[in-house]
Amino acid sequence: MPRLPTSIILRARALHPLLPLLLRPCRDLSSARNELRWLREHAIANREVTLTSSGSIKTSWPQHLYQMCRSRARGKPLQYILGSQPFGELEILCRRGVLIPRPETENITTHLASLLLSPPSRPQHPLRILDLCTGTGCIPLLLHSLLAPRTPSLHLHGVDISPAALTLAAKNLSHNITKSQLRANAREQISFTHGDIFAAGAKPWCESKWDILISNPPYISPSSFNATTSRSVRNYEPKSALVPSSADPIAGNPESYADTGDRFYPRLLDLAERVSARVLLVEVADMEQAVRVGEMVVEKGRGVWDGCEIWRDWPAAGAEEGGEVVEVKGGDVRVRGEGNGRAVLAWKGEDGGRMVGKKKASASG
Amino acid sequence: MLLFKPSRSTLVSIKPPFRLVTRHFSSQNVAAAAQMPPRLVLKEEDIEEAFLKGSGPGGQKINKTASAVQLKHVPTGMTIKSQATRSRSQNRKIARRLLADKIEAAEKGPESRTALKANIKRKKKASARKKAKRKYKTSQEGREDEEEEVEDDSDEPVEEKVKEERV
Repeated sequence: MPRLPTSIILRARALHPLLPLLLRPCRDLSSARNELRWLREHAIANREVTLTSSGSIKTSWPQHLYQMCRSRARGKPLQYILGSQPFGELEILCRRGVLIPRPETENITTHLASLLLSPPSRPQHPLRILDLCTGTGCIPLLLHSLLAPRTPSLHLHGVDISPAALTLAAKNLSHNITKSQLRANAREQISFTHGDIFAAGAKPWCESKWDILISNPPYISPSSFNATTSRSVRNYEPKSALVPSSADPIAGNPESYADTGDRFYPRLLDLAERVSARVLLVEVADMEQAVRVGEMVVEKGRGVWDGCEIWRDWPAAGAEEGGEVVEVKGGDVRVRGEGNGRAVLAWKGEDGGRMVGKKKASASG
Repeated sequence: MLLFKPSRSTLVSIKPPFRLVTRHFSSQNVAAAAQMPPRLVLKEEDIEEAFLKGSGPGGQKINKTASAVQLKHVPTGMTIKSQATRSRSQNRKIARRLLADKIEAAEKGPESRTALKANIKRKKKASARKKAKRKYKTSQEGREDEEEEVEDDSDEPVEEKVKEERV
């Protein structure tokens, strides 16, 4: 990390005495100023007013603000300090021990919802969506907030191995219903259960059929965890949500997944087959991993998946016509949007293709 | 407005013209609010969102707090950036509103909503200052004091917020 120039620190100090603290994690003045504003708003909104014996009103929000800036300077994520992260129209509560929802996840989830709602693919029957490694529950909650107004019947189910994540997901469900960001029927239509996706036994959620399987699994390889993650992620966010644990059994060839973060994908593909999912959407770290996951999808063969494409950070961006393609196992796979490679979409059958806005002929991969 | 505790019979006996009489207790200038032209609504197809790409990896590897949204109005080429809130979807709405205001201000000049609003605000401030001065004078009666500067700071936080939204 390059050292901050003294000039910028001096400029920050001239603007506000607390700004130099925030420059440490933010690295640039404009985002430091934004964070200071949000922290200040939070401190004022949550201030405790006490009456002193002399009758004057005393609030301690500047002290609170100072402490929050101190912990931010040490790298504590802003979302853990403020206790929440906006996600679409929702407010997702964040607690230490559960991964903070990322804007990229918000983008791909929103894009999936817009495909599901676009005219030719409007679902008639109850739409069933399974989210594995749900964490805060942000994906099913956002899908409900986007789909519910135009989908008569929905069932969303989130599964996670971490009890802390499940507690928080349940809290997020009630929190957003209380804030009227989610409809009251979300309580019946969204559920969360504890589950280990590598466990062999039959669980209710993997015995029933689901239309869509979506997942943001741990996907960072141990070497890039040390090299490319930001310090605040490394020191404060749960490693189990970021790096696949080496204890997880590996499906297929153990050698090829040794130091990559790919461990979860073969298992997710197997589970998608098992629950008869017609659409699969998984988040990935970058273009290389997207291509590797694309290969796994293609290897399954036409009988399993009829089409596959890769989404970048902003899948809705860019031209609709004549898009970019990458070669995967001798076939062309469409790449959509702008930014880093971020997700792999696969669909099965005419029905699955229609759900994500594919015409019969355009299936590739 | 019924000033008496109405029994059922009095309520029925009130003739329609009397019932229509309403009084405004608000100090807001109702006439000015009514004259305000409607907000300009931009066509969605004319708006382009710039995808602000951060450098380096994204996703789980970093947890950024940047939520800025930059919009471009294609026909006029005007752009606006909003990073007022932590929520990108909120910033999208704010940016759309600011962009509409900016385009309207450029098109209509002094007739635009923003200009009219600023005008009303200025008048209000001037009248508040005048009142404060008068009050100060009466309270200081007998004393020949020339210091009459009474600052009216009540609008300051609002202005500051607007400025920040436009950063």
